Amino acid sequence: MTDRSITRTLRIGLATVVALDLVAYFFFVADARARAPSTDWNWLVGAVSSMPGRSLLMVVGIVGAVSFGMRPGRLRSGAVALGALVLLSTAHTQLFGSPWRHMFFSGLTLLGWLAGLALARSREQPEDEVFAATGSRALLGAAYFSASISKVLYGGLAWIDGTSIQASVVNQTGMVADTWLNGYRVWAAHSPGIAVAFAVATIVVEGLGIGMLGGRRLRAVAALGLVGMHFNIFLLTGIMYGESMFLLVLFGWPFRELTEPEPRPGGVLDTRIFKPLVAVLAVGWLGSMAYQGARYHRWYAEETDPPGGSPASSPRGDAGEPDTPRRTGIDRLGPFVAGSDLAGWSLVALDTYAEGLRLTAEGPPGRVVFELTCTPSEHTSPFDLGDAHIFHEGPVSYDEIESLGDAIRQEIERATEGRDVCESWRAWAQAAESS
Amino acid sequence: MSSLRFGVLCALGYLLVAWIARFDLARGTQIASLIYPFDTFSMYSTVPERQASYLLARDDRGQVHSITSYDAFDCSVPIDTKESICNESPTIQYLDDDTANYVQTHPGGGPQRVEIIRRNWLVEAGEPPRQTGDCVIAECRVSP
Repeated sequence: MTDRSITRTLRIGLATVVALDLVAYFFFVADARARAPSTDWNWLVGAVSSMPGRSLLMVVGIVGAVSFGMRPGRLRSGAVALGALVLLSTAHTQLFGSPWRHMFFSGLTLLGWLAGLALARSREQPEDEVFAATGSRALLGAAYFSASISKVLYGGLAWIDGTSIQASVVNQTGMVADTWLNGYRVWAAHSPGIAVAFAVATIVVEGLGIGMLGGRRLRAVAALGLVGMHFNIFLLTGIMYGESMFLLVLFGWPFRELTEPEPRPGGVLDTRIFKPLVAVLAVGWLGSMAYQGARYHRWYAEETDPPGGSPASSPRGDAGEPDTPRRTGIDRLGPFVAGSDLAGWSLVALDTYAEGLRLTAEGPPGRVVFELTCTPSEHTSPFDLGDAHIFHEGPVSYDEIESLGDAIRQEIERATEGRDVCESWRAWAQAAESS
Repeated sequence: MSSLRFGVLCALGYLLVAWIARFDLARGTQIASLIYPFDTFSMYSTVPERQASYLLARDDRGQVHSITSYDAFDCSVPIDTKESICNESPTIQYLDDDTANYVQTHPGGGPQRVEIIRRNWLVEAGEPPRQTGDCVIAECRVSP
């Protein structure tokens, strides 16, 4: 294949994905507008998301994409298509409340291509698309590299302990093993070692995404790894990154190397300008990243340990972390039934643990855990029944859970009438654990 | 060499713009960069939650099914996951919204009785996810 036929293939493939994303945005923006929680959006979002606005942008964008794909060097046509994507994506993000990242890959690949065309134009070779192909590959690689760095920066070592993968599978699929695919998901989530392997592989493969800037073999390996990762994510969670998978195959394909442009003095690629420019960009990026990381960890610390400490609780006897549950997901513990209502609260979980029973209730003020234990303690609780302690813990005040605590105590009193409370609790636990 | 140099500049320029400003939006903090198509692709990058949850349908025998495995719903209360008392568990809000929307757009009811529940799990390193209980959102008559 000649340089021209290779870049033509890349350009047409890219233009096709851009056009498809423009059509997709037409529908996604309409859906986001219909389901937006408020109509209090600004004039730009209102205009872009209106039927005439999004129709016009889709048509203009597609015309731009087709024109861009038809001939080499069409910077303006590509810019028109990119502009339409920018407006539609911005409106969608505002209406939906979050960007849809799988729609970003067509835009960033096109942006890289256009940057290359701009450079070629400045060198008076407007139809030379070697820089354009490099720009697209660079931005594809940078996006994945950024994803990898994000996990290290935000999640740290905790990200590779496998819980990120397990929680994603649970949150995305619900662990109903009713098909072979769901069976695979349940197996992966229940295999901590596999989850760790997937987590480590994700960071490594995404980090190697920057290899898209390398030679044809490295590029192919990087793209293949990323496509494999996306395919596995699709199997595990149903999240499909179709556009990026296509673009990775297209731009990672081991075509022969394009003819290297001749070096020219005086431009941004001249060593005297290139090196300082790289230093400035790198320092700016690293500084920005450090700032965003610090912002996130400050926010996270406040979320997990709010100023003023946790609200009032009656302390447990040993004042330590609660013991690991012996049995969770119990349907019935004595008079308590999971899912039932009590004093306006819902009993969401019943567990047993080494020292007793645990009732988790959810209500308007939040979630509270009651621990029923006969382990001797220097502490007491207002709900105690003699030596049988009923401690509570959670981000709610005593006033908010007083009626619930009283109701729990009364239920226990009714259920244990004439019998020893501690004996009864042990019997309830035994019955639940043996069922 | 010229081509590689250009690629390096593009990659660094992209990373700089993507990271230089991150904005909060309705669905999260620090989730958007300056402008499309710049992004840090930090979704799913944060410290993993130890809790997870998902909306499911639980039948009379206690077995759970995907909500989309039913075609028509007649529920005791509207499925509003934000207002529900079961809204404290970590969840993916847009999936909840999709589920609520699915129930809302499939009215009708049927012969079977199910409970729409939020099933909760505790996810700890080195262990399989542990189910920690169900929170009932609504009772519904459904048809498969």
